[in-house]
Amino acid sequence: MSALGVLLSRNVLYAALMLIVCLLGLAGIYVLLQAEFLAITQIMIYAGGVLVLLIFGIMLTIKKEGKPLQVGSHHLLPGMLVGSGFLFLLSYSFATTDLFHAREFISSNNVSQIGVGILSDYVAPFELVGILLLVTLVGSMILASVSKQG
Amino acid sequence: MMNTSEYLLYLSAFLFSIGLIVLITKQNTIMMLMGIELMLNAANLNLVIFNHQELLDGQIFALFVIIVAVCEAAVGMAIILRMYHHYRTSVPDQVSELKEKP
Repeated sequence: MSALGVLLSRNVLYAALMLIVCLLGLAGIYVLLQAEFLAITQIMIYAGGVLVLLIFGIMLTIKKEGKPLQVGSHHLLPGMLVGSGFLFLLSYSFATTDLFHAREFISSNNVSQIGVGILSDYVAPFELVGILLLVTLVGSMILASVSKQG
Repeated sequence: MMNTSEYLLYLSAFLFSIGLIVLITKQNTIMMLMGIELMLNAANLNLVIFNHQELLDGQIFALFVIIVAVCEAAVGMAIILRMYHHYRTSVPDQVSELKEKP
């Protein structure tokens, strides 16, 4: 997958583009797992919102000289050790346990089920998430705006 | 015999490890945010894989995870812009003080 591109590329903008490709691939996997609503949300929010925000931030924090922003790496050996160790641990635990007893996916129209579920069973976290979005919007605007006294 | 879900579990473990390596090794703050996004996406993939088809709890929880990730990215970008405005860098190793020197 193109997540390796995020790891391996030194230019930040190329890494962001690789991240877009990776998120679109994840949306395709969601479609294969019959989570269409989640796939559409993934494309709209991640590939449309978060990555535009990231690229916007990259272009605002780029150096003045006009050369592309290069990112160095540090802690290379402990990072690789922790990452590959974690991957080995997860793979070992997946290989030794039998998680799926031949469960087949039944196809159904679950977009309407998600809509009904959000507005009936999950209405309290739904409203809470709305409040969280509002607080985040106001807070990030206050943080990003340049105040007079510095 | 492995079915498709187990391959996807390995894929999500791979994504989480890549995100962890990016988060640890990269020097730029924006790259660290990208690593956090990759880890959250791996968690979302696990939630969708273990979703039961009748209940749809996993998909709704994954939706909330996506929304909270958006909030986190927005606040992170605001803090990065403020930090860049103040210190003229986005490398957190070069930022060593929180207030102006008196």
